[in-house]
Amino acid sequence: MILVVSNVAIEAAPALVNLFPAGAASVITASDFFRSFRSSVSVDDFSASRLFIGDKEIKPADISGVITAVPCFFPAEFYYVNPEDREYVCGETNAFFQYFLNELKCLKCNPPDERLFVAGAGHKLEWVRKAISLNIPLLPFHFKNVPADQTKNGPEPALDKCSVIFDEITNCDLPEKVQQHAKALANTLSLSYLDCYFVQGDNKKYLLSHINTIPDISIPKNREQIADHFMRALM
Amino acid sequence: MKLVHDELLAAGADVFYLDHHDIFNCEIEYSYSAERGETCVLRNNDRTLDLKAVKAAYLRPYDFRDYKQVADKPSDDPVMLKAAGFEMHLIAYFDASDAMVVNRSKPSATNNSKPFQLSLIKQAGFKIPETLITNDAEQAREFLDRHHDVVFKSISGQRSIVEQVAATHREFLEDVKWCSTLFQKVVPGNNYRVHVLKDEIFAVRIESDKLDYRYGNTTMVAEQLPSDIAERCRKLAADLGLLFAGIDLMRSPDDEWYCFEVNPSPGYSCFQENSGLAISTALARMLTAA
Repeated sequence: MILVVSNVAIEAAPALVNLFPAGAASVITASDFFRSFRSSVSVDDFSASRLFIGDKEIKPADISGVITAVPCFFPAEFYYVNPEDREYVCGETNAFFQYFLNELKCLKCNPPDERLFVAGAGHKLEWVRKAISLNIPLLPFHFKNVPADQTKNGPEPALDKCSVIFDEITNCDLPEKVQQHAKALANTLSLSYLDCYFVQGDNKKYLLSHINTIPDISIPKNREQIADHFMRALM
Repeated sequence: MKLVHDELLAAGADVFYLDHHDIFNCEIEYSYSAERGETCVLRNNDRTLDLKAVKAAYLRPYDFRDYKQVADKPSDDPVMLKAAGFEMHLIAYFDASDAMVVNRSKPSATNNSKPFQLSLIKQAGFKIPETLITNDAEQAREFLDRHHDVVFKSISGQRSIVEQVAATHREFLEDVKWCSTLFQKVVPGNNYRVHVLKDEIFAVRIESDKLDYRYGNTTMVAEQLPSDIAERCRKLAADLGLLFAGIDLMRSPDDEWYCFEVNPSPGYSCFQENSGLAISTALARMLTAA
């Protein structure tokens, strides 16, 4: 069983599931948690946990892969809970899922970390130093904690994207060296999925501007590449 | 904070003390370019601090939304956004910095999910109480039938009073379908709070008239831990990446040591005041050694 952790606003999640053989993958969203994902998880003996996905009972070992399209759940998804309790229920569910996803020993795109469902989705400074250590040229940047302080960064420059999906480059016609930079950063951050956004500087050199670590399954090519990898690795 | 601040001043350390209540008057500004490298400056009223010069940082943020200055402000108010931005950038800066940081946010975040942290505690060699997380009322009922005494508490880092499941709670068991709930078998014995500062151990035995000793009449006595348990505490803090940790232990009547939780930002003052252990001195010593 492959789980696609998503939310109802991501229409591409069912399309991703459809790329797998019938019954091999399933979308999990907080909006139908109460009826389609029942769990009894033993923290002291995780392997003995019982899960019901739809009407099907499975063990954690039956989950062979997880594709995570969201960094966490959001309170609005818990429409079936009293409004004043939604934030609490959402926090509890996120804490449970962060543990649950970490505990599953299976193929993950992307893996979770201490701070919820997708690793590397935190502050820019988390990866900047790693990029510098890999000699990846960076676009100069500046930030300040004063809202709407965009002036020093100037107008938005044109961006070129390079995606790495399981160590393969996709959606990218940038020079080989730039592609290698994206791959190296994905490896250093231990990510199976990484979008790198580059800006071409005055001297034609490509400078890394920012990254995204949440798998963008809205792009058909990305969905195909992710599904292909999971099927080759697991089926 | 005051305890360690006083200790640092007494030790003659060069200290920049930032009162978290003053967060609304703080700015942080960071720049990077290949030519100039990184610069990061913190401003608080008329004071300025070059963050690159900081060798050690003890960070103990609170929830600024609770402060009276912003009691009536919505979360998207510019004052709130400025404070949130300051906290986010400051923590990110120290997470990535080479300074000694007590504690970095990633290891601290393990406390935001109790089961996640319990799993790491188990890997470090401690016993953990039998724990079930479920949104299935039938499974919850089975767990409660199997164990005589069970508590329930929050899964997340949200502070909750640990409560024993009573007959009246059983009437609401069906409600777990709306929110997964954590049930834990009660482990009888003596509570211990252990503060780990790198290699130093400060253990306190706690006696209380309440299951959750934080809310009862308690006495605290400094006690030496058995060497293997002390070593396990050091390993746990190191495995979690915490330079300063508050570890909650229970010694059962059959001399098994259970670990319930690790606090990455321990409020140690009441343990120090009640036991006489010099935790703040050790903390100041660790910071100045950097």
